[in-house]
Amino acid sequence: MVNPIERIVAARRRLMQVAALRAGLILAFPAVTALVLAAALDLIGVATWERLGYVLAPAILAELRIALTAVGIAALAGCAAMAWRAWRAAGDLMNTAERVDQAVAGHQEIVTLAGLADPADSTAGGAQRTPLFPLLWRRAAGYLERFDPKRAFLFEVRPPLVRSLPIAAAILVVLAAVALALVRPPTPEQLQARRLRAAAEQLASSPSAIDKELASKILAAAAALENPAVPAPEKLQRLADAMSELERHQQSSHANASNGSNGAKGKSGGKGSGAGEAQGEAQGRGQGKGQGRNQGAGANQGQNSNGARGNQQIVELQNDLSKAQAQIEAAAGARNNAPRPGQGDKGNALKPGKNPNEKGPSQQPDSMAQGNSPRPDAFAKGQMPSSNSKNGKRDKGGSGDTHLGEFPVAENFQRFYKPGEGPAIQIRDARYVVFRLPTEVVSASGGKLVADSNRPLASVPYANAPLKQERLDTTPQERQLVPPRYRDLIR
Amino acid sequence: MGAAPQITPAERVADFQRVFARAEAEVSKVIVGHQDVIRKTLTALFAGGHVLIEGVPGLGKTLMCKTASDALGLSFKRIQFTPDLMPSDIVGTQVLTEVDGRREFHFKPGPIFAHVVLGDEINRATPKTQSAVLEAMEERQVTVLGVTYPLEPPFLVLATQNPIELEGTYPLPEAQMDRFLFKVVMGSPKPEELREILNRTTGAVTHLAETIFPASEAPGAIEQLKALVREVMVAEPIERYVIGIIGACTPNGPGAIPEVSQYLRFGPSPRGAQALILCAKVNALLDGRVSVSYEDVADGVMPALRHRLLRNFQAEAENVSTDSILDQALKRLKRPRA
Repeated sequence: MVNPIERIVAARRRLMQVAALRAGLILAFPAVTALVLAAALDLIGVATWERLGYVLAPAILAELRIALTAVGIAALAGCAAMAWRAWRAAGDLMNTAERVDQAVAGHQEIVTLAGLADPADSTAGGAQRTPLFPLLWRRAAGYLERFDPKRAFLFEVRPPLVRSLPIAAAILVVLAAVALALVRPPTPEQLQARRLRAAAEQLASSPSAIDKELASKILAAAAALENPAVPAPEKLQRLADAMSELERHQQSSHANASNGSNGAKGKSGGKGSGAGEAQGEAQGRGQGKGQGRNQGAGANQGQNSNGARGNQQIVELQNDLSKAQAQIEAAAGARNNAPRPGQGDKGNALKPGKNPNEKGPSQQPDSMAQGNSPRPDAFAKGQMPSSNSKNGKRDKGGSGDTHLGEFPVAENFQRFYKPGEGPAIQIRDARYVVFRLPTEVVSASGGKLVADSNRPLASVPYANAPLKQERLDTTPQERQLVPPRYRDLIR
Repeated sequence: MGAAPQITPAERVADFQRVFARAEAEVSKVIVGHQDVIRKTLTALFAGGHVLIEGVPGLGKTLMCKTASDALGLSFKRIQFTPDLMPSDIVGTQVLTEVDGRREFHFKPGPIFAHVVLGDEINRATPKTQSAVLEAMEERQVTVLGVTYPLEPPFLVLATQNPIELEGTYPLPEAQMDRFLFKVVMGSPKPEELREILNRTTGAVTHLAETIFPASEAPGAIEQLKALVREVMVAEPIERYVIGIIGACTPNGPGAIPEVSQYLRFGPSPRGAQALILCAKVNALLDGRVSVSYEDVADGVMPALRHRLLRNFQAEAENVSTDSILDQALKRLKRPRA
């Protein structure tokens, strides 16, 4: 005969495991989601916003990655905490007995037995045991004879995962919203940096160490170009470094190419394959010792085409670098010409004013103010209130007032039925009726007047529809807005 | 001289089931239908409580009580409660008798001195007479002129009352209602049952219940079975479930449902909880178990609590029955750890 208490304790262990796993899984999926998103943020960017022509600043991208990683780690910690809590909560023997009782349909006999024979408390229920207790024990043992906790309490993965899906989806949605809010169209510098980076990546794929070095320099220049924290002179310096490296590279490649072609010519048939390989690497450095005799011509062709492509790439790179330099210089120049903070009066650029009625800077030529803007005449000057305007700021006037304060809101504008709407139109509903008289027919031979059935008919049945029923009693809500300078006068 | 054979717990439980089933069968030989009333009456007998039977005249209330006592071999007395019935008519009185030339007062026991006492139409007696039964029901003894006379166990009071003829009646006070373990309602028989009643009562053959126990052994045997009922075990969650039921039916009490607070003046007393547990224990034994389940408790809620709820004026005006309130409470009450 089985020991029912041992079975209940085994079931408790199983329930604790299941509860811990189930509780832990609720946050495990969101944690994995956040960590995967953090790891694949660059790929996601390439596949989404960069494809659409937007960029996310590297600093923001880094912060986003850190935030996602933090969320993932926090979720993992929460997962562990929830699992521990569930493990502890599932350790109650009476709860377990209740679950076992339900599993074996024991009519609370298992619960009663557990209450009277709790192994954790040797005195538990001892006073409540009656002479019928052995019978209860036997009956409970009978119930638990074929009871297997592992089969009775299965670990189902689906429910906790289903519960965790909304959390993972929320993380995705938040990421999408943040990305949507933070992506910006690329600046010219960023565009240039991107092009440089693409060219550098192509170069970096070459097995040549020189190419790789050049690629790394260009990448550094691109990073500097993109980084707003790097000052313009340093950016220029880096671009110049990259440019000089590129020129050096180009010179050496030209030299190698000429050597390579000479070698190929002199030893065509014998060493052409070697030259071909060299060109394949970069711009025909032609080390010139091939093996196949018969492959020389074909290899030379390949060498030439590869060399042309490489030259084009170099030229493009040079162009890109030059453009980047020009942009930085232009930006630096614009920055120098722009008014500096604290020198607003001396600069020429326009600044947004606080009072739309105020005149612009005195040095700014204001042709509108001179020629077209209305000026208050002498009477107006005399009658103008000298008190402050509504906002407490003195309205100096003089430069004309085109600011109405607020835009009129169109409300209640559809006061009339449109054609086809509303009740049937009677003639008495019309406010005026247009009659079209038939033209007189003049015939030299007499004849008679006939109705002109082919006369043009009105395509719109009425041009002046009656007021809508619900609008009859309401007054129009449109009101004429008064320019602020006249409001005080009217009051 | 050999020792008496030891009876195992399983045999005791089986013996209880056998006696109960036989008693039900014997009563059912005479009474057609009303299986639930018969079961609850026998349950109250083995739980050591009293039963208030409510039903219109002619349903066989008195016959059922007498048949049950006959089947179990218990003594039976019937008291017809009337407005002029005096307490001494129930408990007995001192009578002056002459023995050997000496005149002495001797106690002449009333009809309360029986194993099964049927108080017919108990609500027709005056409160003074009704209260005479109180001590007997609760203390299982009567006191006459300062002398206390114990009532021989088992002692079971079966009282009937007519729910329709209320003029000239004295409704039982709450204190006395509370002393009944169950209040069972006897409904009208179904057409098939009525046909069977006609066959049994108007024919030549008379159906009589056979006695299960000889009269001399019956009290002892029934007391043993009553002791077995008390040995049935109750788990702690079941006790909390019973407490939850009582709380849910107590106006403004913990866990009271809105209907209870709206329609009741008072809820069940602790006697209600005792009645629930005792009824559940008998139910468990009848199912062959030695521990109580939730279903055992739920089965006894209606008969054990319906007469312990005191409705307010609104409930009476809206004709809200205590059964409907209890039904709502049971539906809304969650079982512990379920």
